[in-house]
Amino acid sequence: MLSTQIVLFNLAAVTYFAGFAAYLLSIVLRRHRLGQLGTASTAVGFTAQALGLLLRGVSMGTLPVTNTYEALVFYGWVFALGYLTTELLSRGDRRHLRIVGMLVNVFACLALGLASSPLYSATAQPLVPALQSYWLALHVGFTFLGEGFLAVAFSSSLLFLVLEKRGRKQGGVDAATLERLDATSYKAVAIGFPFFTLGGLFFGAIWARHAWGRYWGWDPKETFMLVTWLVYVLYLHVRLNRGWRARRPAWIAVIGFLLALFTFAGVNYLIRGLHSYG
Amino acid sequence: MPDGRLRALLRRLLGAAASLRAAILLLLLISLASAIGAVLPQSPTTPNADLLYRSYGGFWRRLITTLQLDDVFHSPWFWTLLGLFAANLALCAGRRIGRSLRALVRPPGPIAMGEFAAECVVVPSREGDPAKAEEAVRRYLKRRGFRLRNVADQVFADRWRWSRLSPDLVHLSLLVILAGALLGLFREEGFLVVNEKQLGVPLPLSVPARGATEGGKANLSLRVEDFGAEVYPGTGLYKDYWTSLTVIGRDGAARAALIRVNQPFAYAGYSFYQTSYGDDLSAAEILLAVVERGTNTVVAAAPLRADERVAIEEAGVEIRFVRFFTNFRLTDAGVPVNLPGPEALNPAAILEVTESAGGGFGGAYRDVAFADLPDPHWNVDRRFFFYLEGFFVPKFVEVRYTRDPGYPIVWVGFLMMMIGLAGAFYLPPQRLWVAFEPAQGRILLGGELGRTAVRDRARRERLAQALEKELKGGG
Repeated sequence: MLSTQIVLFNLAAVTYFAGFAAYLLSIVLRRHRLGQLGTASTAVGFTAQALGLLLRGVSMGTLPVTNTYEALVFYGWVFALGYLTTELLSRGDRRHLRIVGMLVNVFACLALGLASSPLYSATAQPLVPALQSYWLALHVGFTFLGEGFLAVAFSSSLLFLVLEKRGRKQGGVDAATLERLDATSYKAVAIGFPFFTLGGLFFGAIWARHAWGRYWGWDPKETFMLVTWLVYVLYLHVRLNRGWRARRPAWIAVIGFLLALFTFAGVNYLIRGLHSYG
Repeated sequence: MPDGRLRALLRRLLGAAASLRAAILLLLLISLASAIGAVLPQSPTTPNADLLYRSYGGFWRRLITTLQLDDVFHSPWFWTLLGLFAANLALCAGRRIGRSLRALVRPPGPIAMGEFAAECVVVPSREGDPAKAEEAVRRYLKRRGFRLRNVADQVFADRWRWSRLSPDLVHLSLLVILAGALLGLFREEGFLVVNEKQLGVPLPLSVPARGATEGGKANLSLRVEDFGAEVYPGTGLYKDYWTSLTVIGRDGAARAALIRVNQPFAYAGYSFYQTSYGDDLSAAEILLAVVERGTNTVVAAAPLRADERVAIEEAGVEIRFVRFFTNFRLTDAGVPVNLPGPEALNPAAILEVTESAGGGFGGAYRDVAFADLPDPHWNVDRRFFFYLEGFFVPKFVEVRYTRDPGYPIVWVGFLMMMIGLAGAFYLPPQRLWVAFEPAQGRILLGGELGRTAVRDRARRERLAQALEKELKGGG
């Protein structure tokens, strides 16, 4: 069973890389078909990874997010999910999305590559008592789902900043592409933010009350989750109420996702708290 | 100061306090303060945080303690920030909700021709019946869930109009959550640590005041009937902990329950949680053998409890039992630690041994007695070594209890927030004005269908295409 899962995850990593290459070539050679090939390749990787996660989940009897290896694999999968959903919901010209897809595929590959490194064991470990709850699937699943879309917003915003800077210095950057990247960033945050709130704050609070007797305790992970959430609140307010567009919201989206990454990985290693298991 | 100027000043102050600029500033400050509180060890949750800050040196320690950065989340300045944020939110929400309600109840008027977007619907045939085309458009919009209304010579169509209140609901939800958290300051909470020797003994629930470690009594007592753990076979890892308990009210009414990790029990407004399980090392008892090195003869054996002293005349030593370990390990720095687990894999006891010198007891040294290592081969210049002939470590269980009057309010706040967020982002209000121009053979579209210009345009283009298709189909 484990070897099948690993084969599927490896297949996903290879197809994500192929997707990245196809997107890159579609941009360089200006071939629309190659972009479609990139999306198809990403979709194949996504499906293979979904199958692998399903097998692992069925064998464990829970959502496979119980250790760092599984969390990284799941993280890579939600990146692809976020991107494919965003592309599916986008109508009209999708050329700008190819650049975003290229970057998201790199992130998905990196997540899978890191998971398969010697740093983490692919062998499933028995669950500690604290993690034996269906709230694990709801809390982590929805938070990661939200973060998949926030990763798309991060990629769009990062590319916006890079292209906009290049455009200012050298020219030749299409204003419509920048506008679409900006809109994609907002759209991804608009889809992901409610999931992130539901999983990270709401379900997290319910589970904390079930397990520890209080819904909020200023644990480092909780606190950084709140800080990340506040940064996205800031993003939405400056966009929707203050009318900021382009560069400044893009920076906020980039900072927001870096904080989300730190909350996911950094806090566990650097700050000890109730969310440190094992 | 004249009344008018005072009023103007107050209005300006109120305006500034309720502004988005103030909200952004407060969001940034709260984020920054929270991040500092998460990164710096906090005194209430980190043992020896003060010692750590002392090691930073005088300046940094003074800075941290003066600014209360060692207890950010209980500091008055942090709560002031939250209070200011709540005030800003209340003012903003009050102002916003009025606008939203007015927009909801106000009948829409026609829009100027200049406000119609560039995207328009081309009516397939100029000879087609304009009334039929209009009917087809109306039919299509109705089918898509739009509510139609005639405004002058235009058609106003809207859907998900109640969603206009979604952002207001989110703002209100935050106020409700903050109110629940404020009420949570009056929560009662505490914990009981019970070991095997205390089974069946009713223990009163102590509810210490905020910041205190003990004191206060609730109207309940708790009797732990039994507790235990399940282990994954062959792994040495705990699978689950459980406690069978009875909660007894002051009137003697009793209620029995079985709690597990993640499966609390609620009674009389209190919730009881299984939080910890393990070896109660502080209550360990050992049977210590004193063995003569070389001959390996047991010269004496003595039962000892933690921190108990015993004089062994035969060996001329006095022994204090300092600490017990079920799984003794030394860290890289040489510090002894206990690795918790269901089995005692390397039981050991740290002893303080004082040798007699001329009738009294002289210099003391530390030694370790093992159960699985008869002679540890250290302190080899000493005549005797120590060996654990037997030991007993009672298991303990920790049951936490809490009564928080604020949490149902917090849940209501969260529900409001989720409904508000879903409405704001997944069902945004859409308002559409349609103008029919039969002479030009086109239908104009105006209004808001999306939150961003790109999305708004894309949705209008899509609608225009769909309407053209509908008109062709209706022919």
